[in-house]
Amino acid sequence: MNKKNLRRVISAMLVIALAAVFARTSDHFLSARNILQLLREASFVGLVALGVSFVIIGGGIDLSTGGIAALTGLVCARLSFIPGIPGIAVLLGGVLTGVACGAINAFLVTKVRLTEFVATLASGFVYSGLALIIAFRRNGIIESRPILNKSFTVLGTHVGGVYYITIVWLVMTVLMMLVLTKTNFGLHTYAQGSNPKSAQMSGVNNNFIKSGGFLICGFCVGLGASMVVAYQSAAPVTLGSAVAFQAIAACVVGGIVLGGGRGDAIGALLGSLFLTLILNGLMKYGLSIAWQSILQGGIIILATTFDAQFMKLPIKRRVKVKPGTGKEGH
Amino acid sequence: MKKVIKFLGNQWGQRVTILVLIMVVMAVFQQNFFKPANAMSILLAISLYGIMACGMLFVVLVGGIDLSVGSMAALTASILSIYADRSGYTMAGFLTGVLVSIAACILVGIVHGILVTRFALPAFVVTLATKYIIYGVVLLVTGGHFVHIIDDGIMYKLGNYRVFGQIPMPIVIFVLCAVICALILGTTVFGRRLYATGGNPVASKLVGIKTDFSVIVSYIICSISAGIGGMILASMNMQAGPTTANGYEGNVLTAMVVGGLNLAGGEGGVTGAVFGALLVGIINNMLILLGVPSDMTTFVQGIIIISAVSLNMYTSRRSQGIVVEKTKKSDIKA
Repeated sequence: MNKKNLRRVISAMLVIALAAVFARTSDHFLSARNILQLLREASFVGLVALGVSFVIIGGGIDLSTGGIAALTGLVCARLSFIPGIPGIAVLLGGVLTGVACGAINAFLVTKVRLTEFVATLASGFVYSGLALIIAFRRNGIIESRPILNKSFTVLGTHVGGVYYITIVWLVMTVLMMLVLTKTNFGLHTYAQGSNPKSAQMSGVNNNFIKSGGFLICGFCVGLGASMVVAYQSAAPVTLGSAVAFQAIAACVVGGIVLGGGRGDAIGALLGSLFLTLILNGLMKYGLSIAWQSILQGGIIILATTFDAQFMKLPIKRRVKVKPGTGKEGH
Repeated sequence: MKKVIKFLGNQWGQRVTILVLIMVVMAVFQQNFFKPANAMSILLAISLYGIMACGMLFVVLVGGIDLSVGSMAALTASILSIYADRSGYTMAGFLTGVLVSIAACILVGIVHGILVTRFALPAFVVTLATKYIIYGVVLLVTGGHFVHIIDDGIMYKLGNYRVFGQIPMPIVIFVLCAVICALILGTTVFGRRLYATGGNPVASKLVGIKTDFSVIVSYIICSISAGIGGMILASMNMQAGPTTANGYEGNVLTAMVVGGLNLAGGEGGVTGAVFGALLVGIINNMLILLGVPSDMTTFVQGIIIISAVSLNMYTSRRSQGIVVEKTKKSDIKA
């Protein structure tokens, strides 16, 4: 079994083991209704993780997804109050907002040449600040208004028990898997993530790949946030505050190596499932929000360390100096 | 035009320009800015950011970043308040609180350092993760509630005492921190090794510098200074809890980039950090005086970080005479 498959099996086993534990301890865990609810919860994190995974595989990071989600949600809410607007137009507006945010990130990274994490950390501040600015207010105090636009909120409902957002998530996962494996763009993304210099020398357009990653990330986050707003019939300004970090944790668990070049869309899917299950389970066993916070941080560190130490995946090229030779090796 | 670029390329040129711009804006819109009482409130804010920025400086010098300073400050604030509160505000209780806090800082710093050096994880991932872990610990320690400090002894004096009846205690501590950091960086062997490690890790290792050690120590210093900031903040607010120092890492990071420090490491000094903290304090104060809603601060912060880093990159490239030339497609084919 090669390394890639081994890592896949490990993350799949984690999900199955967790599910088995919950199925043993709770009677209605395996009921169709519960599973569909869990899938709905996983969908938002899943979509964001899917987007972020593209940026991470290409060797970057996107910390602004929380801001993008909050901004997209409020744009949707604002749009849905325009009388007579069809729901699909609201969704389109949300997705376009996400893409626009992704484009700004891409511009900052490729043209202004900021480091990814500085650029996206700062642009994340800007997006969440913008969300606060366009939020609904009463006497200056932010309030969350219920969205009554029926043609939009229908996107948050389900067909035969399966929520639309889950369907969108699964379709997007398949689509992204195809993009990653079957297209030149996907191949180049892996090349760029593994070794940006040699990729560039072999004719990969670095800026194009980076921009593509950020645009796809913005698209996925915008889509996810719009669908969640439709489900909740409200756009809280805190919509994205947790999801950005959860998505990175999901990616890491799913074997998408921070540093680039490893992992795929299925990994993001498995990681999101794992994270949703574990957070959900914690809540069921009455563990406080404190433990959720500790657990998420712990998962990221453990999973990254595991990948670096035991899977021997190149997280960051560690500088090793061989004594006597004066040569730099990896 | 060339002269303007050269002036802006000079760090002091940038700093003076920004300060003059702020002065002009404030002179036009809000003259209260220049009142002595306001200067005092600015100085208090600066001293908190400044203490944390001085610590973060060490980490930035070795090419890392610490996003956990806000949580770290909340942790020490909570630990100190709880120890002081439980002991009935005795000196012994206060000192135990300080010692336990510092121990916690050292522990966190070592964990950061080892994960970054031994396990070679990216610094921002490690510290982002520990930010959440420490926040969880704060919630556990405080039970999610605010600890209120009811004391007029040492716990009150730490943040509010006026030396000579004039200068607030935090400012004195800030100046002390800045001087100590400047001495460490400027006069000790460790300081030189820190710059070397940040400037060129491979070369430093080849000449026999224990780079891992430098990095670990710098993370410890960063955590401790964040912790000191947190303790002072607890005393200034007379309370501590989960939301204490929330989002301070954004302020400190802004101070770093506004101060003209290169986030890639190896360049910069205490003056940069102090100036950055000064500017962040002034800008936050300016926003409040101009009546900008507090929700806007994150937005402004984001804009400032982006523009400061871009300006740094642009001017440093220009002033060094390095103009990045685009590779033409015809060159590659040939």
